[in-house]
Amino acid sequence: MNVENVIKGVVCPFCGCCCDDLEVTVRNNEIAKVENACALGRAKFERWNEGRIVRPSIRSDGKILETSFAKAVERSARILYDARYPLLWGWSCTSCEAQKIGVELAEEVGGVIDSTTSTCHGPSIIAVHDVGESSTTLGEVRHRADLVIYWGCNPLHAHPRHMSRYSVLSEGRFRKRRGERKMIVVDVRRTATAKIADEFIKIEPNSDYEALTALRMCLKGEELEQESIAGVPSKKFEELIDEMVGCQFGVIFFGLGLTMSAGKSRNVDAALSLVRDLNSKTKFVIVPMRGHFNVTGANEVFAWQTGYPFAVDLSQGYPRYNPGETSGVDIATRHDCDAALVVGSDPISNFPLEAARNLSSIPIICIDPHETATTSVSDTVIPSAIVGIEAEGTVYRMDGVPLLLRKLIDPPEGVSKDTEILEAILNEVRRIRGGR
Amino acid sequence: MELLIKNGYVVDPANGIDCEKLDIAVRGGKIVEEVSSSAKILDASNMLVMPGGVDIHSHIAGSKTNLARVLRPEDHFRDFERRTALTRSGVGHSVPSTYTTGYRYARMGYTTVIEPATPPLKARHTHDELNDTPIIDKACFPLFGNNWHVMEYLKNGDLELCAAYLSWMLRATKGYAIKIVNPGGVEAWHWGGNVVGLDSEVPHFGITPREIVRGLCKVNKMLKLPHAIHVHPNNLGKPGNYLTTIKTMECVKDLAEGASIHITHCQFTSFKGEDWSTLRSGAQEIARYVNRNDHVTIDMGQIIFTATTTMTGDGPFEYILHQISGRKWVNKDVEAETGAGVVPVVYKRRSFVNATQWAIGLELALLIEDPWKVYLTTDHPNGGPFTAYPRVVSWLMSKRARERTMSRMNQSAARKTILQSLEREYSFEEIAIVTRAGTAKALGLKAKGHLGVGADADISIYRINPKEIDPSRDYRAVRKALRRAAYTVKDGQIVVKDGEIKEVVQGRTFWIDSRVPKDLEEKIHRELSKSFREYYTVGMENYFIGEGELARSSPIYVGEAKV
Amino acid sequence: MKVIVVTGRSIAQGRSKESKFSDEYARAAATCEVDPEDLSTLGVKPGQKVKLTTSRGSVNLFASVSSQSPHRGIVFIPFGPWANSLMDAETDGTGMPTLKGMEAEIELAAEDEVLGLKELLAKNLKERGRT
Repeated sequence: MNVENVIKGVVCPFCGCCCDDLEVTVRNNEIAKVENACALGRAKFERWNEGRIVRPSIRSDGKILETSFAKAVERSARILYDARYPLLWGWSCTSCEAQKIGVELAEEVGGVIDSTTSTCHGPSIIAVHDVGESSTTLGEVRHRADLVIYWGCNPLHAHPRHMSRYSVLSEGRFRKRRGERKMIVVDVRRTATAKIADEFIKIEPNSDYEALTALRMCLKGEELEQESIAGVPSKKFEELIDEMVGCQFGVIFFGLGLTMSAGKSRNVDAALSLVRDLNSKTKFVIVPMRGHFNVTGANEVFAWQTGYPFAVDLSQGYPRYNPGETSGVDIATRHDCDAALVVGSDPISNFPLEAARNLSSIPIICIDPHETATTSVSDTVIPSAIVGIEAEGTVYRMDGVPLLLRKLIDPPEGVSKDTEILEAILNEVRRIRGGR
Repeated sequence: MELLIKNGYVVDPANGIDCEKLDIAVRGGKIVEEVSSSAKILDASNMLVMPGGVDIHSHIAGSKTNLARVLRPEDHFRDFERRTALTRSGVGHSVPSTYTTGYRYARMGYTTVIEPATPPLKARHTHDELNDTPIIDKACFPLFGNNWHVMEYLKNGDLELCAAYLSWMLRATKGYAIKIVNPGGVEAWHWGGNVVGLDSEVPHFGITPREIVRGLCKVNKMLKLPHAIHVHPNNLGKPGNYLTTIKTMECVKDLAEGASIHITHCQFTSFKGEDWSTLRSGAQEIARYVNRNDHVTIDMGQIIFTATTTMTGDGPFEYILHQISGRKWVNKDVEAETGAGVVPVVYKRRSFVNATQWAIGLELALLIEDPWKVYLTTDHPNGGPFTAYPRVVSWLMSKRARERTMSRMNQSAARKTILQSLEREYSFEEIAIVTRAGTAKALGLKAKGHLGVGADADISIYRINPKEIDPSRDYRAVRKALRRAAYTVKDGQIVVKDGEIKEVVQGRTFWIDSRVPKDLEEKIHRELSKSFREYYTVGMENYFIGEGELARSSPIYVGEAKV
Repeated sequence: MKVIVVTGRSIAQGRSKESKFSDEYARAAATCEVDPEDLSTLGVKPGQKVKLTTSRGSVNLFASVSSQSPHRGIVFIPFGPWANSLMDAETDGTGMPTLKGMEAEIELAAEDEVLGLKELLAKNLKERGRT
């Protein structure tokens, strides 16, 4: 019997857009069809069963051996318990419920818990500590924005439905038509997004700070003495500031172009400061384009439970925070961690080589639905259900709106949810400690 | 589990008990007539026994609280708590992390706390944090004063539909009361503007703040909600705003049967004067109004001379504060409904303005004759951290304590306040009213704030003897005792002893399960289903919070009977 | 030729990243997008192999003609282990490594192999750090 079920209002577990209008057809415990998703979301749903790990495994004498859930949990707990300074990394692709257990586990084993924020918008958060942030939920942009600037990001490739759901291609209460808004892209390449913009400003790599400072100077009525700055004619900054001041509701969406290139958090500082200053003239907001569907959730959970949004060191028995010292890449690069728990992330692929190499030399416990570079070098691998498809959970959209992911189908036989796996490891650590 | 609290001096104003030596019997988490001989005995000899504290307004959980935590790592560096066998680690002076919040309230003998400003679209975040706030019972107030649906229904005179919408919203957000912050002003702020009074017109919506407040007051009555509308008036923080506050209270007077409006953190909205240099206290005028009218209650919003954090749903006010102080500023608008702002602040003794503010809060509490109408808050953390409540108590109970603080503050402000001439000193009974009995009554939480049979066994026991101590003279001893409860009992379990956490329990989350007639409910459902995605970037089904999302849901049924 | 390397997201990389060992992912991530004029100057045809070298390491990639040009002097490599063979773990005290804007040398490497993920990992990780 072919039982088919169409589930509406499904939240997509791919990028920070967390589109919540997907329609997923489920048949015989399989994903048969997905509608309203972009190419990325569609790929996640349609290919959910590719490259799955179905059995836990441990590495023994250089060989990978399948093992039971209980043995894998035991081994994981032992590794974490014995470690002097374990790193608990990842978290952006799992639920808040799992993230909470992660914090508890990090506290229990005296380790550092950090999410991919470190390698995404960590610098943005660092800048917020200094400047603050004038921001909004995405619906306000949809309703009111007449000037939309995408700076150092390429939504057509990384957040494909962003423009149609939230900005220039969307319909808002006060902006019904595309023609009522202007779209500007600032980038080092003429990206796919830049091609459909009303205006594209090409800047030189590693010069966002200068460009943003030039804008701030123009806003304050200062003269730009150079002919060109960041590869852009100075006159252009004057024109741009006039547009920004002259709009009714402006927004800058920014991405890794600011956080990853020279200046890093200082680039964001300049952008946040510019937007703050613009508020003395008109309504202006700034929104970071968060990459993963629950990296924001990791910030929220860590912040309310420990006070700090990422790179939280619990090794002293209380929360400590010092990005650059307590952040994942630095800890790996300095070879300070002697064990790692990786949840739903692939640092062996995503860390620069020096950090990845060091990480690969310590025992790693990896919890993931799919095979990754990290699982291939891990000591212990425990397969998990895909959150948003095979397991429910809370997530936070890039603008902080909390949503619920649904369970649509059952995971493969024998595969558990992240929360169950982490809870089991936590309990086992406590059992080893002999307490509670 | 049975518990017998023996020999304490009980202060239970709701039941007319004032420092009488009485035993309190507890069974099954409730206060009962008597218990068996196998009950655990808690000897409260020579100690003060009160119902557990009920805080009517404290920003402890949700989106803006977390924005503040992230904004201010410096708030956490010096004030942290290590994990123990029983308790989780945490941080925070003015914006504590959630575990720390629960423990610190419990240590002071507080057992119920209201999170008073929840953006409905992000109510799930509030509940996520409340779930992680141990021990205390809690509830949250969703924000409605700038909500598009509300403004449209009221503009069209659709009161019934507005009521049905509110009813749905309370269930969707698992909220407890109707909160209004700068009505109309936050919608104006979404364009960078503000409103300047009750009769300003909200851009594009053709409605005034007066109409919003009145409309929501009527809806509140229609829905028979246990708490009055909880209002942060227009013009907060602006010299001269006491007039707006009085007009706001007045504008719903004709709708009164019993309390129809609660003005929150009233200190911030009791300013007289044209500008900062001519700032004066408007507390006398406010108090006069409150004394003459029974449809109003207020809470103080007392400031403490300390470094703290302001956070409110009043976006434009926070921006102004940023401009005045130059401190860093977070703003987060929420689509179609509300917003929030966060700005750090330091209240300085030497500042004429801050010293005047300090005096205003206390003047309000001392000039309002009936303690059932005025409650002790600092609008945590806006006026100061909730851990400073014992200090506020000492100011209320001791003129000497007030004088000592006044002698160390800006003398120009000290001369201009009438605080010098106010002799009144609160008794323990009055303190119990403004921190427990009165707040519970205003909230309509029938099982809280008193120690009569049937009440929840939330009890605080303090190491002071009210019969022997002279709080006017020994205010420091009072402060010390209130900081660390000798015992805090929560639902009949001893959770704190000598200021240390002895047991961690999961508190309830109260919410109003509001019902309207079926046809009205179906109508609002149909209407919302059609248009929800036009207003919001999420669907109706994803906006709605399920009861299972609350760690310990405690609905209060109001309206049509539950089927 | 001297260039600046920028790493980032691409649709192809995003679509295939849940299947790290697939051919599709290798095609998406073991590639670099080169400005057409730069390709011409280098004498490289689309699909040919090039070698990128930074101060941190080097890697062979398939060169593709960028559809997101002009960006002369900039080579775009999608996120992944190939890109990370080149990038700097230095975070400048921010926690964020330098994943955009590194100076690099690009040259034709027609005879070399572009490694698959398994081989790349074996090569990159073989000098394991101190224990």
